[in-house]
Amino acid sequence: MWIVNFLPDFIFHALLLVSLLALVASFVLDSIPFVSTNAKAIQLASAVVLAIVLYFEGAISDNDAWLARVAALEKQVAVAEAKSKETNTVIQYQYRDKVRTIKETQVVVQERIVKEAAKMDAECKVSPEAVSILNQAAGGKK
Amino acid sequence: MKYVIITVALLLSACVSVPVERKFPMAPGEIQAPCGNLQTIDPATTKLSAVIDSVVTNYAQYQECQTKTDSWIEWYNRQKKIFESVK
Repeated sequence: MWIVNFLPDFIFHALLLVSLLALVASFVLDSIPFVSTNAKAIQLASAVVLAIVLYFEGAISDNDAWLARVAALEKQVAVAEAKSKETNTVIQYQYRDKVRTIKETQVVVQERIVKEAAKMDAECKVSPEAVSILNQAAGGKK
Repeated sequence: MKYVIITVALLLSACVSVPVERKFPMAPGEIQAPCGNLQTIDPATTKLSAVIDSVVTNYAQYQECQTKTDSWIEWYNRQKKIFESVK
């Protein structure tokens, strides 16, 4: 609420007090000449000011409540962002760990292939058709 | 006219902006990399060991991709839970 943010709160509090006092004075202080002659005008003016100031007092209270909610939400967002970063780190470590295991296994298996290659190649010859089928499957094309 | 202006000014005084900004979380860079193509075999080869080697490489690549996909699923589920915790 820009007007509430623009003007300090004490102005509204002071206006509330002044308008209340003026309203009460217009009813009570009949003995004072200025008040008794302008009672109606003072009542009207103070009632209008009181109504406007009450609106802004409500606005200040509402604004404060929203500011408190915003502050609480900002805190929650900061916590969520920290948790999000933490989650990323955990997932990253888990991923690296699993990929390392896959690579290590691959190395072990490939070492076995090297060891057994002579035996495998002596016993079995792969036809070009079989290679072509495997390549077609790997390429994912018809 | 002046009453209209005063009323509009009063009504506009109630306008508020939303100051809380939420950033979309970034996923780890490693899982964002696309999966590579499967390895093909040299068409001229007749060696079973060459075929097996290629198959093993492709198995490893699949497992790496599977890990990546699993990581994405886990990342999404966890981030969703964190996102929904802010109310």
